[in-house]
Formats: sequence, structure tokens, C-alpha cells
Amino acid sequence: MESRMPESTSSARGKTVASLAANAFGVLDSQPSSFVNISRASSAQLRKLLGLPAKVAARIVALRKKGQLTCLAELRAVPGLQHRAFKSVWNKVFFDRDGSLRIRDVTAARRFIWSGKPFALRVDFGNASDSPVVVVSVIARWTGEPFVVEHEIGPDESRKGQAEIEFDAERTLPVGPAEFCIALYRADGAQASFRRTFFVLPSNPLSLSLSPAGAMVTGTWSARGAYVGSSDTFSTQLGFTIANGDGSAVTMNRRLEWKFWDGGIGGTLVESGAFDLSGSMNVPAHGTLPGNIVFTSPNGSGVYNKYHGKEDMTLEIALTATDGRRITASITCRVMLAYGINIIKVGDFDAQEGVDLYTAVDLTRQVYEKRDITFREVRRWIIHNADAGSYTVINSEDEFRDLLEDWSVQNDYVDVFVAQSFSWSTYNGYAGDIPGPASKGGRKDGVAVDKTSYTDASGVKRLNISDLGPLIGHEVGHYLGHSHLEETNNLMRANTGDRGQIIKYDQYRTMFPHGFMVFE
Amino acid sequence: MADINDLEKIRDNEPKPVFAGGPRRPSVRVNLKKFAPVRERQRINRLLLECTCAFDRTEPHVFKAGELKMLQQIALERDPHGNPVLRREAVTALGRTQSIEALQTLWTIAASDFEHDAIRGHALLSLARIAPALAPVFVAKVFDEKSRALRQMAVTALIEVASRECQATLRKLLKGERDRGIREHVEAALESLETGAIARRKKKRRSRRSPGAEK
Repeated sequence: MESRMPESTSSARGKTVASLAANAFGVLDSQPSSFVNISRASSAQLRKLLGLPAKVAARIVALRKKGQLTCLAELRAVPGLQHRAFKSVWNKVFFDRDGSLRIRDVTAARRFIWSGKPFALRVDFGNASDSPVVVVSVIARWTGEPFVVEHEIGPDESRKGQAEIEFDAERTLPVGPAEFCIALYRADGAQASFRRTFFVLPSNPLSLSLSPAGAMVTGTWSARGAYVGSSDTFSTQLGFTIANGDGSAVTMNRRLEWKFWDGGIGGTLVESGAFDLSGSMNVPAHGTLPGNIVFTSPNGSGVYNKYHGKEDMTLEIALTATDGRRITASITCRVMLAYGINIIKVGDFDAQEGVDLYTAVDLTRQVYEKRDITFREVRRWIIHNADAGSYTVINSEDEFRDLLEDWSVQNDYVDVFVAQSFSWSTYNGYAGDIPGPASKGGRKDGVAVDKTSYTDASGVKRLNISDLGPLIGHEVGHYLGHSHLEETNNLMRANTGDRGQIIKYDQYRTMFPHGFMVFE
Repeated sequence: MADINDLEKIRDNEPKPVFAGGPRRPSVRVNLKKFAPVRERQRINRLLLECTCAFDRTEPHVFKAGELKMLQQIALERDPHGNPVLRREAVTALGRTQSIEALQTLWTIAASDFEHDAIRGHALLSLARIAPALAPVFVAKVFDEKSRALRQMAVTALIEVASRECQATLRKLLKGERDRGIREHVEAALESLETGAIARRKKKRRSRRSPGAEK
């Protein structure tokens, strides 16, 4: 049988980018912080750990000796401690027996984690109570299904403020990102939390892995073939990570070889080629070298034709080290169902809150991409305070529907209103209907969420990205046709604490016919 | 619009990724029977995070007196790595306990100018729910703050209580309020309260508007 050669071919380019440390790999990770006991810290410690001026540190010690410094309100009144300085330290300090419990940091006992090898996490904490710390619980999120490891903390560990959680031979992990959510409990029920992500390094010791572009969440899912109408091409963007589990750095050759296969590697070759990466090619010892690649496939190319026919492909990438070692990886590529969203800030946001909001939206996108649904586009809008009126705080269903009726973006995207707060019962999100209308106008066309704000350890106003991303995804899920579904780790679980990032195939089918969905 | 018939056309024939050890790892659990408060904490955490989506119209859990201490503990936990949604729900739940003992905890949060406006606002609202007669007093103490979000919540608390004293406080606040959005909110609320209408706080109807593109 004669096969038709494609009339044009795909092109590719790519570069390496700055790396995150393999033992602090997550952009959503908790920031380690000193948790300083004001009742005992020396003047030098106050200067070093909290960055306080020498005069202020000395005053704190003097006041403490006189018994005039026993709580935050008294610290707040220390002469010379500016309001801004206080705001940056109040969440990093405690007083004897004020009941505080805080995780200072979580590290790997052997600094890094290696694939297929048992490991331990070390949790450093501060406890300002006579009640001992008794249990630590760790949820591990990795390429496979999440699992939990709990550890009973003995009196010695509690006194020392340090506990180690063993992950034995049955609980080793493969190469790739692994996120650990740690909850520490005291005997009286007090709780402290922390999040730490590692890139599990290869034991063999050099590896290559691929992911969709901008991936933050762990899991195995596909890269997207995105249709670009202006040039009649399909664009495939993906990220790669070269990981080095060895104690010495490795230099890679720039040449990157690629092959698109139909039916898996060794099936039918669709297209192949090679190009040179730009950027540094040094993979640090016990470190990673990430990068990104963009393929452009014009009309008539083999890849274009497969995407156009809604067929998926396997992309294989190969690189070599200067010492001759060859590493390969593969990922499935496919076109995806897509919808657009209008992110509408209701009221003004601080600068960091704005950054956090779009990081959360990116997390929402990734949750949907795990089920082969992506965003056509994210458009950014704002209703400033002066115009927002009472809508900054949603206090009832009427208020919510008035907001939808008064404000709208005239396009075929889902309107997502991000309010300063919800004071309506215990709610933090709602959607106009299940499913919401595929037209604008009326009291049902949009969703609203609470922006989930808090103050971080440095006193900066932030949004809780790890909750806000799935919250937006959940309310948009209603809009696209889903009711609540009480299955483990499902995105549509009603309880925020139980909500996960899973969208089932049946749910995908439900969303498919919504009028705002496109499938190029 | 995507055509549901396209589902049939999708060819999904690529091999799924495999990794060493398979996709599952067994969990390891501590027997929490001997740590009753830890179990209690986990149970209350779960209850607090129920009913957060407004499609879940079940009534929020009403906590009993014996659970008050744990709620106060959660409300006062200022862990920057903790879950702000949980803390907010604890503050809201304290407002539903109708317990005088919760007042001090809530006021500690509402009055702290180093706490986030959002949690302070919810504490204020909960205070007003437990002690409506004191709402004007609480609000007067925080209304001079720069934070618009806090003033907005203070107004929300007064409108919710809707007593004569609260209306008088709203009128007083209106005189000094410079934010147009809050002014309109207060004016509309006063109008509806004074005419005896249900305190649905809407407002002059506007024609439908588009938000501005963010710069």
C-alpha cells in the first residue's frame, strides 16, 4: 500500500531555563521560616532571625526582663517597632505557652529523594504549649494515586521539635515531582501544616521526563495540540526535565531528536527531526535542568493531519550527554476540548494577590488538562472598588444573581467573578446554573468565588492558590454541567477538604456538548 | 460549539505511561483511638469544610458547647501555612454557636490590625450575630480603619442586624465614608430599611455593564 508523504513538515525550537532545587521544587511550597520564641530569644537572634534593628531587639529583651512583654499586643507597642516591621514578624514569633504550633521546615533526611530508594522526611517544628506533639500525617501526591503515611511522635521527638517519617521499600517513588502535604497534631488537637515538593532524582542516575507546558501538578497526562487559526497550524508545547541523581554535574549535547509516532513508539512514524536547544546545558549535581519545546505543524504536515483527524500520537524525545549517555522520554499529544474564561476581579486586588490569582487559574487549567480539556484563553477584567459597590462581598443568592445581571463580558467565555469575600452562610462559591447558559444576559450567566485571602509569614497578603485553583474549577464544572459527585479525590466533591483534582471520563462526556466548548 | 458526535471520532490508541512499582502505594495509619482530641480535630475540620459550595443547600452544622474550645483553637491558629478557608469557617461557625464565650475570641481577631481584613471582617460579622445589640459598638471601633474590605464587612454586619441603633450608626458612617461603592451600598440599605422593605440590599438598577479590561 502506498503511503502519501506529507507536503510540509513540522518545525521545532526549545530552550533550557533556570532550575528549581530538586529538594524545593514546588512553586506552591510553604516557605521555611524561623519561628522565634520571643520569651527566650537573645538580642542577636532577634536581629538575625527576624531582621530587627539592634535598638529594637535590645528594647525587646529589656522589656521582657521586666516582665512587660508577654503577648503580641505588647510586642506591637514596643517603641521603634514600625507597623510594617511588626507585620513582617508577627507571624514568625511566639511566646512561652501561648499555644502556638508551627512547622518551621520539612526536608529530606538525606537531603534528596532518589527513585526506588526508601527515604525519610524530617519535620522541624516549634511548640509553645505543655501539650506534646503526638502525630504527623503526610499525604504524598505523585504520578500515581495519592497515599498517606502517618507517624506517632514520641516524647523525645516532641521535646526536640523534630520528627522523621519513614517511607520504606513499599513506598518508594519513581523519578518526577512528588508533593508532600504535612499535618502535625498536638495532643490537645492543635494543628500545623506545611507543603514541600521534591523532584525524585533518578538512581540510575540520569533521566529525561516530559510534561505539558507549565505543569505544576503531578500526574501523567497529555500535551495539547493547539490549533492556531491565524497561521492554520497546530502548536504543541511541552516541558522537559533532565534530572541528575549523581554527585557530579553532567553536560548535555544541544542536539535534541524528536519523533511523532502513531500507535506508540515503534508503531507508524508520523514525523521526525532534530534541532539544537539554546540555553545552558549543564545539569547540576543532584539537580535538574528544565526547559521547554514548541513544535509548529503547518497544514499538510503529518502531525497537522493527525491532530485534524482527532488522533492522538506519542512524541518521543532523545538527548545525549557529552559522555555518550543517551536518555529518552515520551508523552501522548492530542487535541483537546476547550473553553474560555473571563477572570473578573470584583474590587481591587493587591499586587501579590493578582499574581496568586493567575497562578491559581493556571492550576485550574492543569486540573482540566488532566482530562484533556483546556482553556481557549484566559481574559482578564476588573470591576474597581468604586464601581463594585456591595458586590465585593457576596452575602446572599440575590446579591450573587444581581452581580451576574449587572455585569457581564460579551463573549462566549465563562464569566468567573472573583469576589473579595463571601459572607453568605458558609459558602465560598456558586455557579449560575447546572449547566449555565451558553449565552450572556440574565441572572445565571457566570460563577463567583471567594478569593481565599490570608497573610503569609512575611506579612504579605496572599491568595490560597492550592484551594482557589480547584474552587474555580469546581464552580466552572457546575457551569459546564456537573452536579456534586462524592467520589474520592473528585473535583466535584461538595466538601472543600475532600475535593481533589480528578475529572472522570463520564464527566468529560457531560461537558462536551456545552455551548461554550469548542473542539478544533 | 463542540459536537458530541466528535467523541466517536477521537482515536485514543497510544500506550499509557508505566512506572516502576505501579500506580498505588499502601497507606500507613496511626491508631488515633488514644489521641481523642486529634480525632476530634479531624472530625471538626471535615465538618467545617462541608457546605462551602452554595449548591450544597444542607444546613451548616451547628456545633455544640463541647466543641466550642476546638473551634476557638482553629479560629486563633495563625499558621501561615494552614488553610485560610478552614479558619474562616471556624470564625463563621463561632457566630452560629450563639455562645457568649466565643465573643472574646472573635473580638481578639476582629480588633487585631495585623490580621487579614477578610478574617477580621468575618469575625465582626460573627460578633454581630452573637450579640446584635453590641454590633454598633464593635463596628464603631474598627470603622476608622483604612481597609475598604473591613469597612464593607462592617456595613454588612450592621445591615444584617438592622436594628434602629444599627441604622443610626450607618447614617453616621455615611457622613464620613468617601468610597463611592460603600456609600451607594449604605444609602440603598438605609432606604430599604426605612421604608420597611425586606432588607434586600439592592440598589438602583443599572443597565448591564462590562467590566474593564485589566491593564
